[in-house]
Amino acid sequence: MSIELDRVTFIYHPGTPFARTAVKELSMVIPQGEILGITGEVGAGKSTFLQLAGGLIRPTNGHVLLEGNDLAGSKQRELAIMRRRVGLAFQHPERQLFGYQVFDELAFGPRNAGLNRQEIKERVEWALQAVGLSAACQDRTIISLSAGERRRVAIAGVLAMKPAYLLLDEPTAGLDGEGARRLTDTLLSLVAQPGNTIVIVSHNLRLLLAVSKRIVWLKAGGVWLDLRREEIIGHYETLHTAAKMPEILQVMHSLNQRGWQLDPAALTPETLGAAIAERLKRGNGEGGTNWSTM
Amino acid sequence: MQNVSLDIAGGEFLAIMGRNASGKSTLTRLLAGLFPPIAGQVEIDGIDTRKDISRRVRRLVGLMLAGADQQFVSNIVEEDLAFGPENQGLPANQIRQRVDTALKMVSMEEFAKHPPYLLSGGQKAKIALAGLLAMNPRYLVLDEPFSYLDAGSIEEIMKILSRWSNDEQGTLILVTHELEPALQADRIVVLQDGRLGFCGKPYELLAQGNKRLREWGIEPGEISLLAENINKSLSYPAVNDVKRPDQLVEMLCRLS
Repeated sequence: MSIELDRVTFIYHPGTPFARTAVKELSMVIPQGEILGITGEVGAGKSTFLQLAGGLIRPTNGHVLLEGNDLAGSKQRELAIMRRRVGLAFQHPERQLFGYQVFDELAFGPRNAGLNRQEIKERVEWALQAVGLSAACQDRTIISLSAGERRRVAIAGVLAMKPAYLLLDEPTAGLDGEGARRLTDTLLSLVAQPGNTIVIVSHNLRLLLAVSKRIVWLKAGGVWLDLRREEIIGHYETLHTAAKMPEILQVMHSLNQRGWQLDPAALTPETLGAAIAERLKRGNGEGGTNWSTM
Repeated sequence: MQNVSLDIAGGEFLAIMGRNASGKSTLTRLLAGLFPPIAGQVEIDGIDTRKDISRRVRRLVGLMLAGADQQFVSNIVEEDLAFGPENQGLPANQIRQRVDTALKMVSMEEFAKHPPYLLSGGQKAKIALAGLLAMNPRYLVLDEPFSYLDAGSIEEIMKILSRWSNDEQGTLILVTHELEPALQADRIVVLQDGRLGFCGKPYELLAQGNKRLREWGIEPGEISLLAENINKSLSYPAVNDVKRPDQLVEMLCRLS
């Protein structure tokens, strides 16, 4: 039960002077239950990767397997059934809105999945709350929403279908601090439920460090680094040369260089703050948890 | 938007922040003269936008919206850049000069003959910006230009904007949810339910504390959050007034 990319290449406008290889011979397995962050510079192939993984575009070469089924080899009908298990929110998700009122928009997926009226109502309210919007918002017309609210509604629409595979492209772009925080909390609670797989493409490392168990850095269409959460700080020097690192990683790295051995999985202000406080309470490394030997 | 009064000086860099739906985009459109206010007055270089929202204002103000790629009007970068100056009625040689200068300002000369929609996100943003610069505006109003850009691209665009502001004495108005670029501004305005919630220098905004920033929909800086969490776990305020990672590291090493 996984999404698997096997030596996948994708070329935009092949055979034209503007042919551009966005993804090149990329292989990756995303097991069920994974919460995976994908990052990299603009143009690294992140969005193309997500569309390939979601079966939205077919690879120029190679195979994409969803739960063992090759998406390229599947008939339209089989593909449609498989795609129902995948929820994809693109960049600029506000452009995928089509309902008149917020309720219509959010009820569309659950209604098509055959849910009854009460279940639809509950799903809509849950999805609104998940992105930090009030239940009263469901009666508003789409046209009356601000740009940020439209983005939240679009993401709520994908969440409302409770897909087994949730693929999000820059989900916090354009959201205010609270919207981003609520969405982060929702993603964490979703992944705590067995069976849910989430892939988040983002340049926002703070978001990825808050939710991901594993982060993959793409470069020129291929995998540059594929690291489990607790391995990231060990690769700080390499990562630092390629991109600006979040400030809390800078702090953790500097402290570790001075002999503090902090929990390598504590990569958020909350967990790192607690780890530093524990270390301060214990004094100069006396009796603290020694993470370097774990 | 209700009862907002704001004076923006020539050459100033003003950041506008606030929650989703707090009125930020409405304010940018009022400032760009896209529509006049229902009550009150917006004056740009002495021009009252209720009386004259036509070309005079549009020539002064360049407006860039989120999703720059939707604003391209041509399939070739240099033609897209020429669109504004052409509509200003400039002669061909001056249009050429404006296009070349604008491309140089964003370091994208080699992409003059490229289709803009085949460029990467960061490159598209730079071309959209160059399209505005080619019109020689005195004011640049940018509505969340950074939403889909990586840290490197944001830094690069901020450098271009700051160079433009210094060289041309231009006024920059930037709407953003990101605290870091906003802190480079001369002044920050926070809108709250269509009203002016805060107006002051960046350090004055930070002095409001993380709780207040969150109420305004602004995610506090990482160092400040980390310090807050250390103090919370220790149950006493051990680290205060730290802004940079190196300051925090020094302070923590002294404490340990």
